[in-house]
Amino acid sequence: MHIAVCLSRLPDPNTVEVDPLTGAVDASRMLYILNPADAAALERALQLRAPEDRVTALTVGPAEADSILRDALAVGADDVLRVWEEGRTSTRPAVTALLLATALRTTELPDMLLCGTRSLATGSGKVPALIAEYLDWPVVTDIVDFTLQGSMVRFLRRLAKGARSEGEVMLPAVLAVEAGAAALRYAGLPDLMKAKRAAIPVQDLSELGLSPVDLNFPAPTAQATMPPYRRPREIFVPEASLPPHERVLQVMSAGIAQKSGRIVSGSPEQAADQIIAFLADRGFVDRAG
Amino acid sequence: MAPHVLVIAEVEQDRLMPATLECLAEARDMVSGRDGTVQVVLPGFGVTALAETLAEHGADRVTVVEHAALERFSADGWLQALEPVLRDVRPALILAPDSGYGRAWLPRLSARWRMPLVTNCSRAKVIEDGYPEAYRFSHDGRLHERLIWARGVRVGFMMAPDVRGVPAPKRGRQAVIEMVRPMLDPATFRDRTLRTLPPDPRTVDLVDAERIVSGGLGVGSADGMNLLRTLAETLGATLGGTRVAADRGWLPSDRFIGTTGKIVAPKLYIAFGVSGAGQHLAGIGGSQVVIAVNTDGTAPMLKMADLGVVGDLHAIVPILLKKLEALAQGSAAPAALADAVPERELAVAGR
Ligand SMILES: Cc1cc2nc3c(=O)[nH]c(=O)nc-3n(C[C@H](O)[C@H](O)[C@H](O)COP(=O)(O)OP(=O)(O)OC[C@H]3O[C@@H](n4cnc5c(N)ncnc54)[C@H](O)[C@@H]3O)c2cc1C
Repeated sequence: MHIAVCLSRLPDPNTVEVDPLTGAVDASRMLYILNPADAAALERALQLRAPEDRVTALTVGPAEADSILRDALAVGADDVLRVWEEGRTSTRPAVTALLLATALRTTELPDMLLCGTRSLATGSGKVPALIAEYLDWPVVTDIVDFTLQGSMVRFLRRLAKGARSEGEVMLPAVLAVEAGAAALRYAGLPDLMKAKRAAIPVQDLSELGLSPVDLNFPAPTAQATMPPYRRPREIFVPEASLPPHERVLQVMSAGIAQKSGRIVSGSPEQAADQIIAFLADRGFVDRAG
Repeated sequence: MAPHVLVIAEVEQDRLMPATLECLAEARDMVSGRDGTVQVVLPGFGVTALAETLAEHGADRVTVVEHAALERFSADGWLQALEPVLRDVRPALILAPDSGYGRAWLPRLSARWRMPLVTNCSRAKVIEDGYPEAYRFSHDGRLHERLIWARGVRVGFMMAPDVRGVPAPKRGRQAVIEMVRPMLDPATFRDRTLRTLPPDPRTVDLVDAERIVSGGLGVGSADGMNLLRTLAETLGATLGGTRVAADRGWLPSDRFIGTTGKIVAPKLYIAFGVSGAGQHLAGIGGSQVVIAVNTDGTAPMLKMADLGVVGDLHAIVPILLKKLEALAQGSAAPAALADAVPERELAVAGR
């Protein structure tokens, strides 16, 4: 089996500093890392690889991105490939996805493509589905765990509010995993030294059979960055028309109305029975008998 | 321009996801004062009853896309079922929750339609007479981006959940409800969901917990808190507490409730040894049913409870635990089996 993994090199969010006045980001302070969800994808690929299998790591990026491909070689990737158009300064998700899909098509289509479900840079989370669209493959996002079952993959997907769902997808497929799906192994020093000297193959647009116009996607007419801003949620404020002492009382109780509930006392045994009867009454536990 | 805004609804376990209602509120704001309309597309199976809730939260029209194959999510299925529907509707703008489901099929549609799709949005708007505008988070929330498109461009916005909150519904508000029954062959879906697993109460975020057992300073010690943890597990509840209890190290710091901690909204909230200070109460206002146990009959927490018990938690909790465990064992045995158990054993089990 041939497993491809998409990696991206991006600034550690902890080093992204935004000027509170201008919204400008100070690029000189940024330190670059491998996207954590991509690292998890790479680890899962390496774990999955049988002796006869092959793992290829790909990235879209300038020459600086070679570093993450070298790291991938050091931990055990068999092949690497970097895709880039010289002179480009950035890519949008659609461009990244098109370049990756085209690179896979022109070199060799894998049996499975693993990637991180979301990056810590743009964080669009669209790249996996877009690659799937360009390859006409199925895609599964937000995967926390999966196992291979013949020509299918059984997966566990994270849903909102702590729930998860279980499902299956036919191979070949794009599997987008969460950062928590695995912790990337460490490379040994000899492997790191060897990877340092490895030649990194690069493909540009012409080798992919693409022209710059293929990378034109509808773009916004204006774009700006600014410091993060939390949208206010509605919170409690005391009723302005009330006399001061009532307002103080409201603030003290955080605006939460007192309930005219039942107050009971008695022996601990009776208290426990009261609580259970109440819980059963409200349907939180099944009644005895 | 009278914009026609379309919202894609998400349903999980027969319930509308709150993120859908947040999108609906955002869509309502977009059309207000512009004479526009809000249409919701609701894919699923046996979900028509939810259209009423959508109407109360601001939908003018609800298009139920119903098919047995849409009972559980499939990216292939959603694309097959919804692409034709959306093409017919020709919305000016599309809003959907930014969820794993949405991110599996909407980007594919956006590629087919060459439609800009903005994910992780904190706000979506239409400025002046028709310029779509979005604010979105990037760099793990360290940066905010603002994007504006040319007038009249159809843009898809995927809204980050839990940002704006769900406003109160307008009871009795009506919408036009229509049914679409697409022709689908589930054998052609390459991905499918087999079942949904509910959250694990032991690890779920307090904010999302359905039941909470909460301990205050009255719990007395880390051991006391551990006893409450056992009680929580027996009730299928999540353990939380007051800030003071967390400060003592009895609870992790992401497990206290109040103005400086988590704001919770469980169906059941049981407080043991919690006095009910304003800073704590501010975090529990969304609780539906509240039980409080306190030795002090004048504690404010008792006044906030549907059932207030004046008593010592150290005496009550162990008895409560025993009784609940006995109950659970009793109800776990099927009735037919219980009938077959010899009388002698029944007497033991019933004790
Ligand atoms: C700026 C600020 C922010 C704060 N933010 C928060 C916050 O976010 N969340 C928060 O919780 N607090 C917060 N606090 C602290 C808050 O003011 C209270 O001090 C705190 O909530 C009280 O915690 P408690 O109920 O556990 O303790 P106490 O107030 O000491 O209450 C203990 C209760 O246990 C009862 N008790 C004792 N023994 C027993 C027994 N054996 N059986 C039954 N009952 C018993 C007592 O009668 C008493 O009512 C904040 C305070 C400040 C100043």
